[in-house]
Amino acid sequence: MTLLASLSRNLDVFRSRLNAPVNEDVIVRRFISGAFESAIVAIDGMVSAKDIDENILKPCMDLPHDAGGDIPEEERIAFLMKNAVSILPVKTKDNVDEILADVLSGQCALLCEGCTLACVMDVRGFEKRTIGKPEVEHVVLGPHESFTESIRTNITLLRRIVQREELVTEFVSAGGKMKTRCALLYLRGTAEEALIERIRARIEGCTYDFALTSGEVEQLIEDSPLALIPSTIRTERPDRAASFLAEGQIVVLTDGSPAAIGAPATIFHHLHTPDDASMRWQYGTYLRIVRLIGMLIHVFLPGIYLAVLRFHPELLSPMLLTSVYETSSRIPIPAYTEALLMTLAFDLINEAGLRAPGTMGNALGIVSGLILGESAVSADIASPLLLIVVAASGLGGFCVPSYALSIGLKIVQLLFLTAGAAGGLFAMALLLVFLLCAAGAMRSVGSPLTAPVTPPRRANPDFLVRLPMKFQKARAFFANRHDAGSTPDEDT
Amino acid sequence: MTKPDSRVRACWRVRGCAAGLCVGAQIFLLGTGVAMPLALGGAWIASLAALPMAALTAAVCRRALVSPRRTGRLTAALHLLLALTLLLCAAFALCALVSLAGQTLVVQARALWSAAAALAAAALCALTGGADRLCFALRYMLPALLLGLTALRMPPELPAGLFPILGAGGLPLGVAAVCMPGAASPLLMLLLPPPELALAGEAAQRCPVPPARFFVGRALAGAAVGVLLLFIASVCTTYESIADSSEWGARLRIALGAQMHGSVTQTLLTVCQLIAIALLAVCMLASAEQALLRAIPKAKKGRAGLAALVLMLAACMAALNVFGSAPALFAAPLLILPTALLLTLHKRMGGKTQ
Repeated sequence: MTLLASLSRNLDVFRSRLNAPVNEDVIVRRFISGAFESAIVAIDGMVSAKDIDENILKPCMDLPHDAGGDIPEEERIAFLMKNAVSILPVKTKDNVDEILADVLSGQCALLCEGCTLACVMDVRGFEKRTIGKPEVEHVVLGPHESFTESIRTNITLLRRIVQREELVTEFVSAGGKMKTRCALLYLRGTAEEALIERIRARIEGCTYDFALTSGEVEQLIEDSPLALIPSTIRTERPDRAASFLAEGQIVVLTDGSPAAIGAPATIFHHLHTPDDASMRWQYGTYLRIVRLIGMLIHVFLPGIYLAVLRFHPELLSPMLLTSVYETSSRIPIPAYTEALLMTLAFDLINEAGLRAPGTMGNALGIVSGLILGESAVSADIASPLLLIVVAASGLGGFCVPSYALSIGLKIVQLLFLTAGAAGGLFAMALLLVFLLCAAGAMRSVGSPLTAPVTPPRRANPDFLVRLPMKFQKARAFFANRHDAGSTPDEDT
Repeated sequence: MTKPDSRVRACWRVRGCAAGLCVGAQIFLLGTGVAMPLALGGAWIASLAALPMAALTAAVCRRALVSPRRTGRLTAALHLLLALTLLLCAAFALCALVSLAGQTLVVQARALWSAAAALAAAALCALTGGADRLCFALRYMLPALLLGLTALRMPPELPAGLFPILGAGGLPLGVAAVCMPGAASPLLMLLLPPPELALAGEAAQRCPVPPARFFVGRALAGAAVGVLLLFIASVCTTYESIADSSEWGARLRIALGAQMHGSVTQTLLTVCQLIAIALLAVCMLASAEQALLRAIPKAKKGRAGLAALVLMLAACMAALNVFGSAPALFAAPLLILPTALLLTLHKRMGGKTQ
């Protein structure tokens, strides 16, 4: 539906669509601007009243009474833009739906009598959180800024780091009825065109009524919804998002979410931290090895414990074996149930600590861990060795830098626990082969998730061992290499 | 090298490494299953007979790949035969997997349970389609672990297993050597292009197939690891204990020291062996499905082809559960027959090569 020449009828349409005057925060203000009448439509609270007063209403109403009287009606809006309104950025539109969407997102629409065009001005002035420290991705070295809920602020944070003319920001909408504004950021010439198109199509092709958060947008982008490992990478740090852009990834920002999505991603993105790059290569490499060990302990230790206890007791020394069996004989529940309960109890304490308000979380975790653990051993519900195993495994889980991956690995840990109990190391080996095969087949927006290790791709020596900066020369494999006829991975 | 070129080459590298790993595992399986009972400690010498066959198979497969594509009933029949051959290789590998697990890690578990677990895992892995990539990722790690763990704890009676060099004598060694070329049959998977290329765009399809030395090199590297493992197995196991060992699973186990179980190193080594054998089974099953789809394209719908192959594999496993591993061990060397037939026919049909 397009705008009409009659200002009154246009305003009636807006009032009707926005349920005014029942909707009391809808602002429809008519005023005289020179020789003709104009009006603004906005939502109270979403716009800056000061900006509207000083830069739209006052200049328009201060125009002489005969100003614009001799210009054609269709050019009235352009006349106001040229002679009165002092606001940037400004867009001219004639579609009622588009204007309404802009008004709902916090912009202000200026309409004139006799003109079928409206001017939409960005006068957003709603309250927003200030830039704070990252809550999930803590670093020792490196910047301490994190994204906020405002997409505009987030883009500014990124632009401040990536000061390149090739940086492109495209806006797309996700969701059917309730549209969420998303920004696609990429470096033109560095990011592969086909990948940009693929991500844009997936976001715009959303058939659900709404996709409000970056988590939901992430689910629109990902290739394998059944996979346990995330196939895109999320960050709350502008410096990390900037490094994604430099690598040739596409960064997606969602209005209202303090996180950026990087795609395509590889499994190594989930294993690296921003600190790795901030440190000298030896330190970064050492910490990566420590994290890898922690991750392996997290995934395999409870399963190995059960496998050894049930199928391979010969691997333990006779002393330890005697002690384990002696303790186990007093416990009334099977070893598998015991291990499952303890693992779930650990996750329960962790989750409760996370959701508890304020500083109570840490205290809750420590107190409940100590009390529950001690009581369980005293009451012969859990063996001390199992508690050590579960605690070590849980500690290893905290080493995983990516929160999304750490939850996936918790599920994998439970699978290995079950396999170890059901078929010992044999079943665990079979499960390992299956999970690795599944990971090998996974894709991230068409690019292999396990590349550049398998399938092989040209890449920097920056997987587990991070070599010095002088060796980091290659651009990421999914980036555009300016080859004639280059194709993204899905085509090969 | 342009991006499509390098990516197509990467696909072939993945495929070549998977084929190499498979042929290495198959040489070890056939060596312990067939050659060792015949030639005893000389089984590793007999396994050397598989190397020229591996090189020949790789070279002929490459020639068949670059020859113009043909369609027709004969081609479909050849793909069907290829699918069956690869399926038999998968069944053989699964049988070995169950035997080895039953003799080492899950002694107390029922063979039927182990077989069902192995079959389910193989089917799920084939369903994902990432086996080739996993083989590529493990191309250095797995052989290094197998050889490294063995080197870490070589038994003190090391030279005892090495003599007599010819094992049971010249004639048994010769018979064993005749059986070993059948171990090259997993390389038939190289008759099929990497699955990723089936989805490839035009630019990727125009990219050249790597030269014959690329395939032969990878086949021989994998085969050499297989021979080396067999050598280690022969060395680690004394002449007398091989002669006494009637179980295939016991011969598959590379024994480090006198203890049957109990060492972490020994267990890790067995787990590595199990992973290698499982990968052979999965790659064979996935390639069999690929061949079947070329013969019967309609079988792609709902992965009906894979389901049919898994059912056939389940039937094979059930038969093996009833009759034991003896029929598999008897039939395994005969895999040379369909292999030779396929290679001959492909060579004849090949015509001009690029």
